Amino acid sequence: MTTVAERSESSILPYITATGPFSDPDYEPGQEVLDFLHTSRILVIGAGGLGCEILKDLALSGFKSIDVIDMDTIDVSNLNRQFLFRRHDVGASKAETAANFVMARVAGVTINAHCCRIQDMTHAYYRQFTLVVCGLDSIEARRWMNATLCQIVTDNSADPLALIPLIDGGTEGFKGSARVILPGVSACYECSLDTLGVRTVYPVCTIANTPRLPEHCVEWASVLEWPRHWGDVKFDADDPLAVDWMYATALTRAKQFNINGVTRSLTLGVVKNIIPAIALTNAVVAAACCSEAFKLVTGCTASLENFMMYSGDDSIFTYTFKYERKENCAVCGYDSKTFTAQRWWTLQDFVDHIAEQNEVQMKQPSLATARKNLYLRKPEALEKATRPNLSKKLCDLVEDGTEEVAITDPQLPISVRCKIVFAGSDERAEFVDV
Amino acid sequence: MPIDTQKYDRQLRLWATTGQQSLATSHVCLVNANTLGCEVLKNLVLPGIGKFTIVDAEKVTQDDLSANFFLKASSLGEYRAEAAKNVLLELNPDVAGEAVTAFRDDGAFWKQFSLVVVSNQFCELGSLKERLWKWQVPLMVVNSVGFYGSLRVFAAELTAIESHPANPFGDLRLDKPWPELQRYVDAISLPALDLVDHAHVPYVVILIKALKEWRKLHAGGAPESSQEKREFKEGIARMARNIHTEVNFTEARDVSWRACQVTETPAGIHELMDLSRTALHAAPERNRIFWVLVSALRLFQKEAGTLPLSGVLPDMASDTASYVRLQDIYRAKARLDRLRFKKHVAAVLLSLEEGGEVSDEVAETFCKNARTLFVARSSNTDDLNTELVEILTRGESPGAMQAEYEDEGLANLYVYLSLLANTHHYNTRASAATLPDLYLAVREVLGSVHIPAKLDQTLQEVVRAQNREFHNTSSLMGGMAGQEALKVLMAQYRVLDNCFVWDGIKSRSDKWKV
Ligand SMILES: [Zn+2]
Repeated sequence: MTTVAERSESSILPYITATGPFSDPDYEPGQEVLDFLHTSRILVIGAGGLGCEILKDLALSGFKSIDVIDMDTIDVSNLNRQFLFRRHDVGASKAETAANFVMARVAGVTINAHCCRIQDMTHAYYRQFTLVVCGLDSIEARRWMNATLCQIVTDNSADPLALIPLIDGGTEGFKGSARVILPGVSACYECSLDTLGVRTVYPVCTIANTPRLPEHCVEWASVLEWPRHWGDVKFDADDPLAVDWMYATALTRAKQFNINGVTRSLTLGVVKNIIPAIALTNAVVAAACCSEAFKLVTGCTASLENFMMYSGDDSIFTYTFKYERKENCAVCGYDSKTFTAQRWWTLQDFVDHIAEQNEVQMKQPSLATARKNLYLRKPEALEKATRPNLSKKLCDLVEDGTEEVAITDPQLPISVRCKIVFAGSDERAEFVDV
Repeated sequence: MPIDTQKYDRQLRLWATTGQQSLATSHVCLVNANTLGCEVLKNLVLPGIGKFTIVDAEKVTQDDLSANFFLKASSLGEYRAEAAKNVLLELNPDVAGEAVTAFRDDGAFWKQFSLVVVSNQFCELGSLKERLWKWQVPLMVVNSVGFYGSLRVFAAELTAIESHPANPFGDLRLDKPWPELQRYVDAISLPALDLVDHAHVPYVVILIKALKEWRKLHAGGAPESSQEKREFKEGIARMARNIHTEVNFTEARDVSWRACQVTETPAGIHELMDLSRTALHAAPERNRIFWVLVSALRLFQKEAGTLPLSGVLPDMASDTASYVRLQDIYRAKARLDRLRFKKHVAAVLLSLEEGGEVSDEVAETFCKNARTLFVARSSNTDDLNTELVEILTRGESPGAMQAEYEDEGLANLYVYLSLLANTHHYNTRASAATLPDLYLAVREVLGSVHIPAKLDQTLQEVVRAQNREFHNTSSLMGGMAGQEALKVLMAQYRVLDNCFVWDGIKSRSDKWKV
């Protein structure tokens, strides 16, 4: 077996061997910096569009010990941007394929691939790393990772090594962002959750009674007709027969209402909530993230404070600003939030309302106060015991403005604490029945 | 070759098959297969351009391998063009590639390209730029040194019909309903409707009715002052039977400003229509059909007094039947306008003594986007234009540094200037650049302009970079340059016009028109 010579490091040495006009006055370049760069352990979350770029960028920035986690397998539609994969890789693990490719191309770099969920790893696992770079397309996974790293800081407040910076990239079409989070020090992901747009949700009454757009017809097929026909069978967007059924059902609906524009591609876009994705936005955002990883680990120059947004459809635009920590952040803050509820609301009304709030965004919220459980999804016995509360008036269950309610979701290690202020009348306003 | 809709699904949702077809027939030339150059090509090969040609006489060195992912370590000593071409071709079997290892200066060679991208220093750039300009081949010059990067677009004229505006204007004609629309609105009697129907009247109908009533009471005028607009809005709320429960009336109230807008041709489109008289005969070949269409638009506007209707109706609270009916009325009018527009296109083509016509799809796309056409015209000068010089000079005068923005703009300009100085130095001298070298280069670039004292820091940063590429900067600039290249090739979206700089130390960017 021949060993391939490692690549020269001449492209990074200028920053390791010399200080610069914008470096911190305390920065001491030299071998120690290079050694630290080589031995730092970096965790990459996601081996998709951003992940492929991130792994390439880190490998050529002097990082030699990398882990990557991704539970996904490679799909044909990844090939327009995920350049570490080829057509014959379709079906294989993203994490493993990406890791092997980069290790073969850049000698001397070790990448441990984990084909699993981030939730499967323990705090002890995460504590091994110098920093974490996230290239995910899921808000939920980002929140989980952010909350976990914040928790590690809280649990080990005496240990400075417990502070593991999180660098987070995100893209959508021509737009993207890169940010640096120092858990417990600077604004965390949850602090700015309310700035994220929430996915368009079409009202059920529109879908059921007054469809106007092709999307309404697809939602009718997937939200109402699928469960009616198939009961508990879960829709699988990768099963062509299931997609055909969905498309045909939506098309029939559209024809009945003289609505144009239902296609197979549109059907898939709606049911899978497909977000457009292109190579170049991933390249920009990943490079911005890895530049920051290099700066944080070497200290060669000041790092991003703390958010950069990027937009490329109208010329090229970037905007850099600083998110501030929030006192009432559910993850890194100490205060509880305050929500307003109508006096006539039942607990169910409140649960529906709160789940959609930008700063909560929970799909399966459970609610409890210090005194009692309001509504719990699990275990089954408690769900059954608390279910009658859903139809009770909220103001009869919770003290106005003083009692703290904890909202949790099985998917997230987060407890949103809030107080509820009541407003409006006791009686529900009359609605036009449609 | 048919488009692979599965592989390209995620991008077809952005630029559709028309954009993809343009990509598939394009041929891009890269001069210099350094890290930045290869990153640009990667971002063009993946989405599926037709072909690329790499021009590079250099051979692969250890320095190249240090930052370039698209060179294999085993290629050390081989021609860079050849080695990079082979690796890049692995990314997408739909794409063809060629390597040229000696510089070519014949027109036949360069004229075959849809776009030429020049990456980093290149001594022959000056003469090549002149010639590409003459041959009407768009050129992009990209740079990446340490944490700094820059991008310049040189093209006499770039156009886009589908400019994909972030906030499409909408073309509802609420203030000028055509007879069919007015008749439809008049036929609806709000008091006669039952509760359910009343709560499902589309806001287009509500607003046209409200405006008609307003005009009766205001001598035919529309709401103009903010006081009047507020009154108009309150009037709509009063039209509802219960504003708290009738979503359609809430919506109508919230978008009442749409009824206060005057349907008129945007000033920029008027300019383009005026420009079309000369551009029709002088434009580069690639833009000829664009100017034929704009000329026809001018004739349409002259005849109809307005632009063709876009025919797009946004979603609004409504029952299905009313919405579909309304949509039909808008689409029918758009179809009539399109037919009329196509007659003007035929007339323009006839006046050029070629005859023929455009397809219905082209006419439809053009009419839909007639309010947001994009044209960028620029110069081929290298000099910092007077505006930039003015910014520089102002920076040195007392009191000018107070506004934070101005300070930032200046700092970004210093980065751009430092990169120019670096390029100038390495194109004219063989030695590694020192600070005095770069000062000399700045003087040569700026001519008589006073050198700002604050330039010192960015010049020092450039000296520290030793004219080397830092992978992350090259990858980032490769993404941005690849993006602008795609826009040029597809003639979609608004392309950079025309100079951009990236400061990777401060994570900031800026752009100017030189
Ligand atoms: Zn927080």
